[in-house]
Amino acid sequence: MNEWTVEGLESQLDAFRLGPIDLTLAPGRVTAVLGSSGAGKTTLLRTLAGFLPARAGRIARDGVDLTDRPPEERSLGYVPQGLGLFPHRTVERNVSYPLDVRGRTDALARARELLDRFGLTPLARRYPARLSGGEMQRVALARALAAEPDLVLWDEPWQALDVEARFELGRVLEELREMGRVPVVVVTHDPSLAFAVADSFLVLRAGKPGVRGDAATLLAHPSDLFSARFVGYENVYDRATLAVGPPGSLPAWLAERSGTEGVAFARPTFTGGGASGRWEGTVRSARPTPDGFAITLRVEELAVAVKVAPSDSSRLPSVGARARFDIDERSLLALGPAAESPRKDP
Amino acid sequence: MAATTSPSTTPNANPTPRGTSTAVWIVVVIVVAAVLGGVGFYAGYEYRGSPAAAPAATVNSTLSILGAGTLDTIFPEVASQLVNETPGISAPSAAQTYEGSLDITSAITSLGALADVAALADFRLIPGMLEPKYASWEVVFGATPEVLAWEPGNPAFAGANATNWPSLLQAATAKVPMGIWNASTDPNGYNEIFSMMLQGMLYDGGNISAVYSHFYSGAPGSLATGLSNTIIEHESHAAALLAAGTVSAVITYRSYAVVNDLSYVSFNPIVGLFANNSTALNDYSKISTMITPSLGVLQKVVPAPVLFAVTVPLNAPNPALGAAFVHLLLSPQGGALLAAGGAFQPIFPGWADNPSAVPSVLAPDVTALPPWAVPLLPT
Amino acid sequence: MNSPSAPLRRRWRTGPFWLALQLVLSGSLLLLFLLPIYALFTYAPPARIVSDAGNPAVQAALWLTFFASGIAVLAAVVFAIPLGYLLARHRFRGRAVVESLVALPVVVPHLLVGVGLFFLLIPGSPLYRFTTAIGFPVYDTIWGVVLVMVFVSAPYTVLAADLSFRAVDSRVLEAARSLGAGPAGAFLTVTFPLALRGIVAGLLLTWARAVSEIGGILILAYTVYPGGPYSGPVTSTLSVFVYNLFQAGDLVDAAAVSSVFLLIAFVLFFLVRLGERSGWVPWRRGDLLP
Repeated sequence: MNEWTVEGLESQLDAFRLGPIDLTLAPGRVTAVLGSSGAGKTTLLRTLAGFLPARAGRIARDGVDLTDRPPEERSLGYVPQGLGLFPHRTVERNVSYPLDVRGRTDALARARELLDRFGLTPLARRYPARLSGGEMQRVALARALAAEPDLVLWDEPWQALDVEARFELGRVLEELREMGRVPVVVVTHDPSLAFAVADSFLVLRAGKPGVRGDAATLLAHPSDLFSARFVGYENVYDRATLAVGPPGSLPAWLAERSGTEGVAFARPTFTGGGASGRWEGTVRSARPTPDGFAITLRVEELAVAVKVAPSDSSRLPSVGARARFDIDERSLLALGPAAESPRKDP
Repeated sequence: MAATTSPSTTPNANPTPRGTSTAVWIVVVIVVAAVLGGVGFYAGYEYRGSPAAAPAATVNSTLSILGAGTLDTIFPEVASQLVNETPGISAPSAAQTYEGSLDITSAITSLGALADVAALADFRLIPGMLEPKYASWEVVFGATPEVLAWEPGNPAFAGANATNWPSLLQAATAKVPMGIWNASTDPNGYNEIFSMMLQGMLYDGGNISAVYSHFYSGAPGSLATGLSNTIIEHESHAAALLAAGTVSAVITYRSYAVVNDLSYVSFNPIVGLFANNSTALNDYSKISTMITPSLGVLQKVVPAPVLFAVTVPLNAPNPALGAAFVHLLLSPQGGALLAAGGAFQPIFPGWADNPSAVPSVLAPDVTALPPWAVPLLPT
Repeated sequence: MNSPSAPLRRRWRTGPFWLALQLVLSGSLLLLFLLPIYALFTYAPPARIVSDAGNPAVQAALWLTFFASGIAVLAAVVFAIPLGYLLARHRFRGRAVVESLVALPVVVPHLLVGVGLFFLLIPGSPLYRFTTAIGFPVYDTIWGVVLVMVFVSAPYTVLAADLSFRAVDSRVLEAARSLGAGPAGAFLTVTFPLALRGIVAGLLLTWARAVSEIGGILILAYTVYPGGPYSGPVTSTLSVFVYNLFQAGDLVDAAAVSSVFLLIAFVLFFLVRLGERSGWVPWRRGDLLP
């Protein structure tokens, strides 16, 4: 069946502690692991792969305990950051490597099949040093899949790729899912990739698991600063920043409605220089964007981002002018652990 | 990502703050190097002009010596006696080199070595290799025979005498090889070959191979190569090798054995290349060997009594100082130093091949070479 | 960029000055390297170089030197590369001590190397009895030559191997492990091939150092007698051979024999460079045409 269960997994790298993490990875499902830098995403991947020993917890595949097995015995397809392509082997020999080390005589033939599927055949005899970023990613993925692994771990697939290459890669991931045989864990901090391919999400915060669930869950209940920004909230404030306001000011008002981590809101309404609008601030910048004008206002110590639809051009303020706006209380989101979504994945 | 190397030698056309600090560093390094070099030069200069150089003394007052290896204890003693007697001169050991006699002659003739005194272990070498271009006279000052020497306390040579030493040596070298000298660079190398041949001639019914063939390959008279029971050592290492036990024994001058505190057994005077009567000279004339003084060149060498000779080379930096040294060597004090422990038999007055060419200060110390020795000189 | 009226200070800092300085400094060093070699080659007439090359004594010395240094390089491969790997890949207590120890032979004056080995192998000492008992007598044999050569030259392989192994990207290694290679397999298929180029450079340096050694060999194996793998005539290594020629005053022959040796060494270096460029490290070539 190829279903992986992770229970209470903990590991440690110098002073950084990861876990406890619980995951269920089903074949054909893509799980995106999200978080800001240093949150432990790569550490989690490395622990799953076996490069970091588990201090506690269990990793099992179809009930078989793999926690103490070395990486080469876990039947993995691992694409690390930086890809780890073998510079001394051609593309086709890179891809055939997993089969070579397993002693398969048809290694090269099978590798060529994979190259064909990934559109890499013209590059077969090239060395990695002569490949573009997108080509290298595809080679790395083909190599990871060559030996038909039971789990694919992919760290930052879209790093440093242009739009076209990303599209290509997205297509490849789609194919993977459709093949339906192997669970994929993808580490990323790119929202568009995550929302494009992932079936479920896990947010990590300083090594601890945060929001988890499908896209709808994440969008509805982003419960930490990172997630809020990730799903698109432009105005995200952490609790400490809000402490500076005198009573009745915007910071104080927000602080009353904040969770333990902070608060976020979306789409404040810009009312311009007129008298209506509850809050007032100074315009710091006003720029045209594809979908209207983006204005930043300064209120007390806070920066508030406002979008104005193109039809309201008559109301565009100049820098330094005073302007007013409203915040819809229903769009306010308190951020903090108490606001986490239910644990189970759909 | 394709790997590229950025060119590191393009000059930076736009001066940046980083360029300034690089320049500062370069200047600092140059200044520090100059200061260190200056200090070193000054220190060395000052050291060279040490107290020994009294301003009123002669211009160059350092005695330099090139001597045969076996003189490396005796000559420095003579030199320091000269320093005690003569104000304003010095004889530092750095200016005295003791090595194989053939190396000395080639140093003088080919390598431009300069010395105030040159003393060699074979009196045929100065006339043969240094005269007339580098020397015009020589004085034979001492004789010493060849002996078999070993580290004191070595039981293998207990009870050795002039008759049984070959068999003792054979037995000993079956376990630990003997040290031999390179005949092409050191007279002792060919002298020990001759000693072995003469021992066979005198004690084995005229068979010059009797002892020789146990230690050398190559027919007597041709190029001799040591067998596996011998080790060719660098001439200066013999004492160390004996002390360490790496070699069991050596055949060398008695002077060498004495100055290095070795035990030794004397040979028959003819075997030891000491005798110079007509019988001895007749026996010497019957044997020879070959050496390769330079690559691809073979030269025949015949025995002669071991006689040490000295000269003041024509290009000596301080000829007067050299002559003063020789004068002291040929005096009773010098003779006592030479004879100490039985190392040498001093020859007084010294034998000069060109008595009229010697410096005037030496004229009373020398006499003509005896008639039997004259035919032995190279023509 | 550099107008005629620019202040002197700015003119001094611009490109041409630095380039000239670089050229002068580098050129001086290159001259220092090339001039003595030039002098060696031109002191002896070519006819003499050729005839000395054919001289059996010279050939014996050359053969012994190359043979012994070859054994020394083999010893470096067997012993020094693992040590380099250990230093590169493992952190252990006392590692700094080991690294300093490895660098020590490079610092010891060469004559002292010979003296030290000489003391170690004084007849009667346990090591002497051991080496003679197992058939590896050291004094004045090829083994003595090899011993000195290994002492002074193996550290270069250790250091080169250390650096080369260190330079292997650990992510590439991890990729190999995650793809199914065990630790030994990953070493053979990934670590070693990637470190090979640096190790080969280290071995080349080791060979060069071994071949040029004289100080320790003067003490331990001034003359080399046939024995062990060496069955040629009694001879010395080439540096001792040339030293003897010089001492004997045969300057022309000393220059000629040195020239023969330098020519052979140059050809060998050149062949290795060619080999590097053409086939050993294929990924430097880039595209492999079908």
